[in-house]
Amino acid sequence: MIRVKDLSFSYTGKPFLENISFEVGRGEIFGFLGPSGAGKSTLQKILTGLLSDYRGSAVVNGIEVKRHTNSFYENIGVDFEFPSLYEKLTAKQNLEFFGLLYQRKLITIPDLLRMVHLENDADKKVSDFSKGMKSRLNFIKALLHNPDILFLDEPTSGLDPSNSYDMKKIIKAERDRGKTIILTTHNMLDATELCDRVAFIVDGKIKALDTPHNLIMSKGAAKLCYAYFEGREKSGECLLSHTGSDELLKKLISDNKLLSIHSSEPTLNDIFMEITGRALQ
Amino acid sequence: MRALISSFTQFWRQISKDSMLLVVCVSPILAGLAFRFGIPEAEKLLTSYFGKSAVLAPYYLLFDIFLGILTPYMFCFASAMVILEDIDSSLTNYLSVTPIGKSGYLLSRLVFPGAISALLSFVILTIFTLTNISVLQNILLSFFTACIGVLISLLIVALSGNKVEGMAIAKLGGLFLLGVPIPFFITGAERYYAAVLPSFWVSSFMLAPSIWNAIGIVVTIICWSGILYRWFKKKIA
Repeated sequence: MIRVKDLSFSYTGKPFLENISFEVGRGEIFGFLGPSGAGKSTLQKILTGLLSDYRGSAVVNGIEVKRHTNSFYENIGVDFEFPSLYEKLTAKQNLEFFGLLYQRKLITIPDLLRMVHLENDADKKVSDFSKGMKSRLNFIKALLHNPDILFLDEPTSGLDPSNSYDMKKIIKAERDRGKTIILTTHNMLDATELCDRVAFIVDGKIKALDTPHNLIMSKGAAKLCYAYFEGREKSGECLLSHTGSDELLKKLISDNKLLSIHSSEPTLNDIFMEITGRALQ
Repeated sequence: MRALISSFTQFWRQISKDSMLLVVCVSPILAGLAFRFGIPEAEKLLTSYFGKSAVLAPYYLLFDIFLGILTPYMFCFASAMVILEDIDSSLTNYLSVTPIGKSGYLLSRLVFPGAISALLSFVILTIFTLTNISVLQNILLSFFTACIGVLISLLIVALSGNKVEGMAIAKLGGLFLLGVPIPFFITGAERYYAAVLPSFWVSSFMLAPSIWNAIGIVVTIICWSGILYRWFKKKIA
């Protein structure tokens, strides 16, 4: 669905994005992870056709983006980080207006509102909405025309844990329906939970690209931590790959003297810091 | 086309929900009434007071040109305010990634309002003219003043960060109209100091329709739109 090859872009003559290459298939959630100013949003702007003076190739849904026509957007849904809604209109009027811009069959407005628990706020003006409600309305606006490709920029930003959980459930369901989803975020927990693959972008370059699991496991740093009582509470640890050779642990297990035991894997953020030398949050 | 019409309908909806913009759009009719009925009455009073046969009458064409330019000015000011509101709400970016696209958005926010203002300018001038200008003159005046109106929209959006700044810049946009009275009051070569303003050439053309004055209008409008559109594009990128 998306094929990017040797993509470079510059705002001022100085390279901002350099030699970016990746492919995203149907039914995949692909995450761009990186600190602010790394180039994630610029990359999204290129893929959505907002910036066209790039070098290299960016093909979305079989169309070279710089040569797109307006019908290109019939099949693309974009959820920008900051809500773009008519504040003086109600939620329903907003969705009705945006729906009129598309020729595709639309998802019905009550269904969309129900999806994000806004069905009772359909006739409320957007100016009276909270930040989280606006984020949810903004999100369903991108789903309105049932596009095959979704670009989501920090979709859970400003949401409470419950709504954030529901939102992630919807995103996964859209992926399971075969949609290609590009997720731009600096929230590594969202990325770990949602993305099939992630790309670490720093200073306009992809520093690593793999599944979150592979990235974490490739470092092989998973540890086993345990606690036991020996006059006082003590703790020990060993690499998960060396559990069998930890004599103390073996003895504690056979004597049933363990107080607690758990594995401790590095997070995506640890991996990001290790690869790029920078923190995400 | 449906997307374009929807976007344009939304434009009107935004204006209808803003009382200031509604008044702005109605003001050319009020000005037309004041010009058509107030100025001849004022002329009567002034001529009898000064004992002259004409005081304002030689400048009736000037009033007509002002009236002709007022409609596009007000409409395009309203259009600029709507665009600034859209920029504030990140809607220009969002609409650019819908089937309406950036070009469709500009059509619905600049070209359509400009075209409608030309039509309204023609109607208002036909009803309220003080000089009985010909239909052809009226058409040309309405068209050229609508182009100036669009230039003022571009200027307001390009130089303003928000609606409040937009209102201040609209006053600066009024400088574009400074060229209108100059050919009426300055006949020497000094009047060409105002030659950079399209309104100067429009006024000159209405006083003396000639190919040179027409070329002056076209060249100044093209030059200004080139400069302002470049700034404007950066703003809505």
